[in-house]
Amino acid sequence: MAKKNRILGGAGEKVLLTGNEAIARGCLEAGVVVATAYPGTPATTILEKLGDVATELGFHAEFSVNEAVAFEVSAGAAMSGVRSLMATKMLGVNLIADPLTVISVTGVRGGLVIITADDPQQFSSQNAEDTRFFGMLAKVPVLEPVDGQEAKDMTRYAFELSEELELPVFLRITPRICHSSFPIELGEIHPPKRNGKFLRDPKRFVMISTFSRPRQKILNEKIAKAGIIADTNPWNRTFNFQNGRAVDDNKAYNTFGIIASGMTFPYVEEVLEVTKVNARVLKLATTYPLPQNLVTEFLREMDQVLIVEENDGVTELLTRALAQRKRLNVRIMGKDEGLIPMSGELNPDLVGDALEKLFGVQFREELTEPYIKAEKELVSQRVPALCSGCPHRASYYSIKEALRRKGMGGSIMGDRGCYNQGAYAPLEGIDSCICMGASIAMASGISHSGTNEPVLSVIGDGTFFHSGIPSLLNAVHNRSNIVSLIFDNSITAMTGHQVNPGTGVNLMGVHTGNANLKKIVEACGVERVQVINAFDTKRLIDAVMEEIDQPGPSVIISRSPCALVVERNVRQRKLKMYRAEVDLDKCIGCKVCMKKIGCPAFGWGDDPKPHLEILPHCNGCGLCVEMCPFGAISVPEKREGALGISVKPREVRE
Amino acid sequence: MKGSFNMIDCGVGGQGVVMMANIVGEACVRAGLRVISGELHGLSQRNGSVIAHQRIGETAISPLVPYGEADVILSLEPMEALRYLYFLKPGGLVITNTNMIHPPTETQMLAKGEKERYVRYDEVVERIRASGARIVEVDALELAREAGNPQTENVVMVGALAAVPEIPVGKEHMLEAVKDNVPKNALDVNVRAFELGYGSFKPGT
Repeated sequence: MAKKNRILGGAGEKVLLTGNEAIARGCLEAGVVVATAYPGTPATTILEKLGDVATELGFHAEFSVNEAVAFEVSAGAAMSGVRSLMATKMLGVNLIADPLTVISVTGVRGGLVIITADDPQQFSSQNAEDTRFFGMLAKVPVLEPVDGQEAKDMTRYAFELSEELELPVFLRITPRICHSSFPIELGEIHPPKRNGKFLRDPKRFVMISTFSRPRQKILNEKIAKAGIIADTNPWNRTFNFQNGRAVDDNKAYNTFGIIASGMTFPYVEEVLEVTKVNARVLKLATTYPLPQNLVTEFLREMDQVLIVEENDGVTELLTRALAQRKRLNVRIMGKDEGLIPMSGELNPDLVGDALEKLFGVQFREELTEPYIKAEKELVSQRVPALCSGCPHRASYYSIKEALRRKGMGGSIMGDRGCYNQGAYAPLEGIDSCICMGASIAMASGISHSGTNEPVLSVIGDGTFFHSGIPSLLNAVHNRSNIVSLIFDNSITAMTGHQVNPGTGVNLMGVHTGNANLKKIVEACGVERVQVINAFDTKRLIDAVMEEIDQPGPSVIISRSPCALVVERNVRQRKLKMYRAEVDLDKCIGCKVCMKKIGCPAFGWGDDPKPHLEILPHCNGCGLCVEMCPFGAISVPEKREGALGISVKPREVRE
Repeated sequence: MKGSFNMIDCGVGGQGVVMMANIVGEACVRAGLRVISGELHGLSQRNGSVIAHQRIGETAISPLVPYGEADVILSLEPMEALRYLYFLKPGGLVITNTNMIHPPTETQMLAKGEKERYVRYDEVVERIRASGARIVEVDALELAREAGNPQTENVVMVGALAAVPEIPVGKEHMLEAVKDNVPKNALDVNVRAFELGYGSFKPGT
């Protein structure tokens, strides 16, 4: 798509940008010098957008090997006096906790901003943790924008605040900010000042305990100062809603108040407009530390205050503590009283429900029966599935088949990536999914538990680089009896095909060589390692069966490019896409293929008799050909060569 | 909410729902209208259900359309229109592609014998109509093929949308946004797809 890059518009222009694009633009306006991330939905596109323009504007952008590394890279740059960014989904904050809780003690010189994307609805996350607790843990301020414009402007401001306090700063967003598009007025892009220099200061940066202890006091002073600065933060604002309209009059004639932050603020606005409940609303941009004077004055005039926030009741907790300390007689309500749901994202309707419980007003009509019933009866779920032609399907089939033939039971510890979709029937290929890199170590634990059953693990190439390597070293060092499979498609596919060390090209588009997976595994001390084409099911089944019998850890690298990359390359090279065909004379409608591998390209036909139908998005991988006991499925011709490993994710610039 | 025009764009991952929403969004910007769009990425890979919310007008505040407040549901797949029907206002308009894409879970239910047959298009449409919605049916796949590329179903649907009288964006702005969003080497085919969609529009029944 030969479109002008949307984040490069001129100052004063008004353009439609997603929240993630707005944050990327905010970084350009702040003159960011180093930007890092590990891909993770919903934050991934921030660094993709920055990567698109990094060479042109002269700053450094990278997809790092994992979040901890990304944060340390950015922190190093910030210690050298330049502005740097690290973007992550909230689960990545767990990884950065280790350096973060010390770098808040050392502080930084150049601005260091961490974008953290929380996922209250768990659209693509294993949990719904609230990263504001990490702000409290590390004593790092947390800012929250309510829309795209604020996301851009606050990103720029976060760098200034970070420099003023010499502390990292969190900007917390949610998927509704990341992926919504807003009309945004652009500011001036500032060229990056790439003039970093690390100045030696051991008592500040060498955090042995004797040097660290005195700095705790400095950190406490900094976070107290952050609270004072928050009192005058221009994005903390109060509004009076009278009769469905926000009025400028700042007199506190309402005794019912609402405190809202992030995306919940527009929901509150909308509900007050419709229900015409009169309220004073505090739009809170600095959720940690609280702007104490501002919140105290707000509470002082109120009889009751509703706190509307997503994830956990953090503002509720802090506000209650403040009210108690200031001895204010105000009823504070929110999640604790069951008015705001404890989990899941909010929306205008849920905020409306809270006001209905309090005041009996109605935000909308009840949903009528035909709507709800219609959905349940006719509409099947569309759960995310492994794509048609996905090599992971072939790998899972082979692993399960090997275990079936062995007849010894067995467990398969999974990891984080596209291959999670193999959990669904009929493959049911993994027995756990915990966090990035957990598979190999957890399999090790099971192998030491005294079980007689085979213990396997499954991890993708990107996740193996991210955090699988230490677990594999550990498995060798401590002699775990496991079979570890690495599903290698040489790209980080789950989040939309981002580069990783195995891809050969980095985010800046520079060839930096492919990390050699097999050599890394060997260097960890694994003696038995083999590389097998994922679609060579016979070899893969034999290999798994054989390795189960071997003592100690062994590794099988099951390799084949991502089906979507293959399809893209077939299209770009104008090759023919061969599809599977069903011989109606031979197909008896036994459904064995469906029960074994359940490819999304399978459909069902009734004319002239019940039979398997191949849907148009089949890409001819040929796995189903082997499944049919009657030889009814065939693929006219196999594709030539490997059409994916050499993918170039971005125009190559040297 | 009053005074804002609310839309739901939906379909199946791979059909180009997000691009459809982008086109409508950019057409609004061209027409000088305030617009906020809420999309969901991440698991919108192939086969997943994809939805985008769009709110057009000066009073558009949050990107989410409240339940029962959408003026139009623009759907690339009939079952998806039914899935999100609870967003539609009473008597609102559903513009749907007639081409069904059965979810793999439905096929799995057939395989396991939990279901006798696929849900039929006429059953889905009948349910949509029973809710009191007006419905415009567009054979987008056929029209996309006629335009020269079956992958232009989403642009056909944008064309049909552009012909709806109550849409606050004119045809010209919509067409310009289409041209701006499609690959340059596929411009003609997409303009044809748009025009065929536009021409196919018949006021809803």
